[in-house]
Amino acid sequence: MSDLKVNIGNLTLKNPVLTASGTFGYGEEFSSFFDINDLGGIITKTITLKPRVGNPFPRIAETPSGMLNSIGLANVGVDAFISEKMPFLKTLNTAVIVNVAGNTVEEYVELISKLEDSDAEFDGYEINVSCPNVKEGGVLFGSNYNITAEITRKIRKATQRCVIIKLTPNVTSIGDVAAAVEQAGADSVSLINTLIGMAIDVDTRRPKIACITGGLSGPAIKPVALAKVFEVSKRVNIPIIGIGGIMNYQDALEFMMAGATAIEVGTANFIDPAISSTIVANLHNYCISHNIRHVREIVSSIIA
Amino acid sequence: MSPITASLNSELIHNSEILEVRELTPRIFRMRFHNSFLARNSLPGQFINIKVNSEYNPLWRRPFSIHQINSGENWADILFKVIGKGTDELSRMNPGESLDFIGPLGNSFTIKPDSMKVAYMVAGGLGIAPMLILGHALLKLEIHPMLFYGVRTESEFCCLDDFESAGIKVHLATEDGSRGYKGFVTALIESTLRDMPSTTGIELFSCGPNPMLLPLGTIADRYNVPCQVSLETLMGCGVGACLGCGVKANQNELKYLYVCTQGPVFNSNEINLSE
Repeated sequence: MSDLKVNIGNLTLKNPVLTASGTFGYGEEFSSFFDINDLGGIITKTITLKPRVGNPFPRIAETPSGMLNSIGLANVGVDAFISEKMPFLKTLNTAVIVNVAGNTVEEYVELISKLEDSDAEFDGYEINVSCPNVKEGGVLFGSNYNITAEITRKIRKATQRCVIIKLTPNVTSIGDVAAAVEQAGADSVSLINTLIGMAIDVDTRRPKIACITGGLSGPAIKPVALAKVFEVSKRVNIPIIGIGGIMNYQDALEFMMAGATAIEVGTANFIDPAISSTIVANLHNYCISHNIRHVREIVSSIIA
Repeated sequence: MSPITASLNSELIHNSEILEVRELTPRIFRMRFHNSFLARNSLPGQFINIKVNSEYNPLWRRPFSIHQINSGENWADILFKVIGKGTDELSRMNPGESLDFIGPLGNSFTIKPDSMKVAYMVAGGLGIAPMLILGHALLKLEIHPMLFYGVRTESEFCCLDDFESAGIKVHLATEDGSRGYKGFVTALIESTLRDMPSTTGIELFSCGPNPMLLPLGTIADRYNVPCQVSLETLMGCGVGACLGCGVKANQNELKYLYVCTQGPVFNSNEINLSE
């Protein structure tokens, strides 16, 4: 047996495989495909203070080895999340991380307070300051490291739970943002959120998604994501969670070797709903066949 | 130590042997594959989501209505038209090769044998795909369906024999008048309803492009007949996660319904196709 456990802040994950926000619903959607308890943890769809219907359609477009999306944080809102989605999440024997977003700094705090004051059982927060598809907040916050640091500081004061800040690559220096967030008290940074992209139908001359631009994800962005993880690993001491086009265990290993302690599987869930579980199994097999006793030995093990 | 494998507990994830790939009319193919689970459990209107290759191009799966099942011989059929890279690759697959798919997915047409006396199936173009499995299900409940089937021109009709041999009466419409009624199938169904002394007990079951389903819903309202429509749309995941396949709900407040899990079949009154 190899030990797959990794630590993110005060949280011990049974393995480094998480599911990325917005690609795994509220967990229940995937329970008919595999045992979700096999995972290190799940990260919920982004929750906002009020329910959001999301952006107009078309919201998604396929691109070479990737996809664009502009869902616009469609979600049930925090009240319905607590009353309707939490009962299922409570039954899980894996880490549950709630992804949250707000239009203003105050909204983030209010949302966290609401969750803290509820009887909801979960393990941590991933703070979405990087969504490219909303008019307020989102990437506008994430690309300004003063605001990102302010949000982090306020959330840090509001909770004892693990706080992960999800970073956007749509900035001049992701390393600067990560360093600011670490100083402000974050337990971890996760990266990258989607890259802003677009596609046009040349017959109709219309953009392929209604909001014109969207977030690019999938295998197409993996090399970019990997470079960002490597860059951030040189700047912070808190654990990094790697995200961006992870389709199989080899991709997961690359992120870990570049400096990630854990990883999130995103777009791949759309293509193979059980892939995250397969990645856990294959990571384990890799450790066994390479005589690795603790998966954490792989972190930052790149020879460069 | 032996390798561990992921604990997949799903009856929905399949690799099935392809039995036949046949071009029925130009660019429209029928693929038959061996799968006893699908053959026994698929409901009319449900779909499967196929990964046409193991590469990242195309990246997404492609959704297809289940066309026909045979629980005695353990096979299922899909019907598809070659439009892009995904369907092109699918059309080039050969018997003996393995088909990677998830399903059956989605809801199904609702059949209420007590209140329904007559079922009119209305298909436009490739909307014919789910009508055969539906027709067979209706016949099993001793409801005799009629098919109203419209295409642009005669050469686009397919699987007429399958309906006729099942004893389903077929009414055809072509936009260019090359066969059957000249005009849209919606006009054909309207003239049929207009001529009925009473529409009580009639229900419409439909599949086709949105510009056909929209007027059909209006006609159904005019003649006060229930109308279920199966929608075709772009899908990212097919399992309710990506939220990419929405349709507007027919209510004052803006709300979307998701085709992959809340559909693909809706009552025509539930949705607003008018944009």
